[in-house]
Amino acid sequence: MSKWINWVTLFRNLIASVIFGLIAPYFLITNLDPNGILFDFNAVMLNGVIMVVVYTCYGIFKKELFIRFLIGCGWIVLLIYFYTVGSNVFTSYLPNCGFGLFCVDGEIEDVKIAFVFNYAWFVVVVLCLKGLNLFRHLVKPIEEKKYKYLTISQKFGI
Amino acid sequence: MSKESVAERLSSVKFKEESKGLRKKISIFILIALVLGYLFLFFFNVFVVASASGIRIDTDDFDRSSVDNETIGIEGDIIVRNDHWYSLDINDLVIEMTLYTEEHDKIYDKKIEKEVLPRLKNTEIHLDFTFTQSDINFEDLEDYYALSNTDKLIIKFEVSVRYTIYIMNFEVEVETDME
Repeated sequence: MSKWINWVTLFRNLIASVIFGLIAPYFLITNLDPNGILFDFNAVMLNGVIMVVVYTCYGIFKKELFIRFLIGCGWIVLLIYFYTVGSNVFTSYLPNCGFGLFCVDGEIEDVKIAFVFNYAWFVVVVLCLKGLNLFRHLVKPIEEKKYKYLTISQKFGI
Repeated sequence: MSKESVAERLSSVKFKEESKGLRKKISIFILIALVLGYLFLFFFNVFVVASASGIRIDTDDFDRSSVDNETIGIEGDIIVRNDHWYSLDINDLVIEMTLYTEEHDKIYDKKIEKEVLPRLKNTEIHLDFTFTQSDINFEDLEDYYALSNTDKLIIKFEVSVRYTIYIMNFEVEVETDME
């Protein structure tokens, strides 16, 4: 089993996704936008949780493995579904705006003003490019001794 | 199907050794396509932002509309100046005004739609959201009673527009006392 697992990318993806998906957005939103005027805290955190789960699963397997390609495809299809279909099981828990929507609302002298910016298609295009990159990883010939730092550590018996 | 066969199926894809050269070419081609794709996306967005920042909206004849106790709403022309050389079409413009009672029962709505505001042109849009009580066609008695029994009217203006791959909605809600 260990011949399929890449521990380096597993922990790298776990740490990166927790930092960039949960910790950084949490501190940014709680400090810069504590009242939730610009960003929807629940939507951002839900994005973060999905990123941690899927990106960690994605990192478990070595790049050339077919299962990694399948997980990556599943992740991209799931996100495209979230960003193109407005109402789903996840977005139903979001109070104002969901995936692919940027919302601002407020009140100026008893006049209610709301602005919604839909950038879903931009995300879908980026996700399609990511999918293309996944396919590139699958077909790209793997060079021997790719992880040189692992080879060095084996030499020294670490 | 044994566990081993499932594991084998999900493990490395067994490409033929002879296909190594072709796979390398495909991966380089995809890499070039990816770089071009991301570059296109970046410059496309820069162009969209620059193009949108050149749009100007002027109002015309709004001062002639007289809003009194009998009349509610606004009337006039807006001119969308989209005539700069790097402009893009503005699509699916919808301006909607909806009138609600204080209980949020809808009693009247009026919509203005423009499919395309073409690039390199100034487009004039006539807004006529002025109405009196006699303009409202009551569909049933409930609408009539809803209007008669309300102390406040809520007027909601919604503007929706599509600009390239982006969609924007703007909403303003004001309340007026019925005196």
